[in-house]
Amino acid sequence: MEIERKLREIEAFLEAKTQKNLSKGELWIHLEELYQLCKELYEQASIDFLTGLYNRRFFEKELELCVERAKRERCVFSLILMDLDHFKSINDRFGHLAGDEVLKGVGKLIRESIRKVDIPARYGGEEFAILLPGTSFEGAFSAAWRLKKKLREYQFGTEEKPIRVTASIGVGTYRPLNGTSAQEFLSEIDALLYQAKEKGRDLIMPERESPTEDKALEGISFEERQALKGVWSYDDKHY
Amino acid sequence: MMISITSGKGGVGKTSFAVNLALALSPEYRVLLVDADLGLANVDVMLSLAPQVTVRHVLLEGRSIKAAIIKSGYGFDILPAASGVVELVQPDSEMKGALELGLRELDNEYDLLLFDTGAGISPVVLWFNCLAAYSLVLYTPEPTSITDAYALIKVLSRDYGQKNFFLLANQASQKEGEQYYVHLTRVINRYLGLSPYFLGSVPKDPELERSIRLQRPLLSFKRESKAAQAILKVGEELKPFFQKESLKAAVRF
Ligand SMILES: Nc1ncnc2c1ncn2[C@@H]1O[C@H](COP(=O)(O)OP(=O)(O)OP(=O)(O)O)[C@@H](O)[C@H]1O
Ligand SMILES: [Mg+2]
Repeated sequence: MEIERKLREIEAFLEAKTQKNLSKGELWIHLEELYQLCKELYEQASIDFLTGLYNRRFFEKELELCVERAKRERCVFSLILMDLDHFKSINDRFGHLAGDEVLKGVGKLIRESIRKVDIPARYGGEEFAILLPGTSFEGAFSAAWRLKKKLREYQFGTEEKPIRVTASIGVGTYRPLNGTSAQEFLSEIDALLYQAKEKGRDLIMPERESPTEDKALEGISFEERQALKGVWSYDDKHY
Repeated sequence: MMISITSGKGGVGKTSFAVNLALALSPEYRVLLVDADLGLANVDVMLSLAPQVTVRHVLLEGRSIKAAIIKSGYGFDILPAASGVVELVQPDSEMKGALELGLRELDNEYDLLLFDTGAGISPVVLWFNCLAAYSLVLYTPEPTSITDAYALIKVLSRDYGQKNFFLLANQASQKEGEQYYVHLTRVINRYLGLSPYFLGSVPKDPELERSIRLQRPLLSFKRESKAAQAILKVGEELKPFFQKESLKAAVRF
């Protein structure tokens, strides 16, 4: 593999450096190579280096897989999208380093609040996403609720300069029967997250019960009733 | 794997079937029978057990779900429900969330979780069915039971994504059960686009009624009775599905 070969070359170069006197030109070539290597690795990575969560690319691939699996195996999964509230002002007031520390801390809180099978990702600057395989709305909602609670109770920063953070959250469950695509599903949850922001932040949308429970049970149609009648008015002589 | 035992109409024989099915499968599989009628326990009553800790302590007092599990004395375990606890009749989403996480954990420790659901199509009944990999729908050969079974299957498949159904006739002769299955499935197929799997018929059997009065599972003392034999056969019908599911789980993670 290309990366392995390059690594070995640089290794050999490092070993040789004490014996040989290298020209500046050679040094530059190796430095260039090292840079390319880092870039390639970075592009292939599935981890967000700041928080240790998965990155956006990996998340999007996993989301596609979850949708495919849900369609094939009739299983549901849920998605939590979470955006930190007023994060810009944290950066402005405490500096970018403090902001990065908060992001790291949030990553840690997320990892501590989910199960092994869940997939946590840093989706954007201060936006996080969690995929919960095989989890229905209630499970996802309670996970989101616990996370939100933990977050608002947690003290980031230092004793002298405590930083408090809240988040707005959108939660939804993918149901294979509606046949929505991964992208559509993601936009749906993103719209919920946006609603939570609009409504005043530090909120989860939808606000409480599962949306399917609100739907009144429409019962069965006249036609179906007629067809069912045939079920008990059958005649023994058919058999 | 989780299977819900459900019916739409009440009193068709869910609990008595669930108890005996758990017994039929328990020598080979680790079975947990979950009394899913959370606020109106019926499994422990049927077996004359008096659990100290129930799902009530888990959901309202924060006890661990494992602390509530008891041995049935017949080879399988039971997660008992509470008796007459109003808050649990329609648990809120936080309780359901906690319960789901607990049940998923137990699902790793048992081969089979059987949910004995309450009657009707209340949100909590639908919720248990949605959680289960398969919904086993019981019907008896009478119009109200068939209509309710159909209505339940319709709501579950249309709004809850449940597509895996078993049908089982209770208090019906083999022929009767099968005829009803054929007709019911035709309607389900036509309007809902599904083909539920037929598990067979359990006949009306006075021995079963006697077992209920004795508060002992029929299979524990009268294995040769007609109903017991039929339930054992249903157990055999189900076994291939467990294997499929464990393969699926292995591929998934
Ligand atoms: N195969 C059978 N043969 C004879 N009687 C039966 C049979 N199955 C059920 N019964 C009768 O039906 C009654 C109700 O059974 P059971 O309590 O198991 O129903 P259920 O569906 O769990 O009821 P609920 O909806 O109230 O929970 C029993 O007391 C028993 O007398
Ligand atoms: Mg019952």
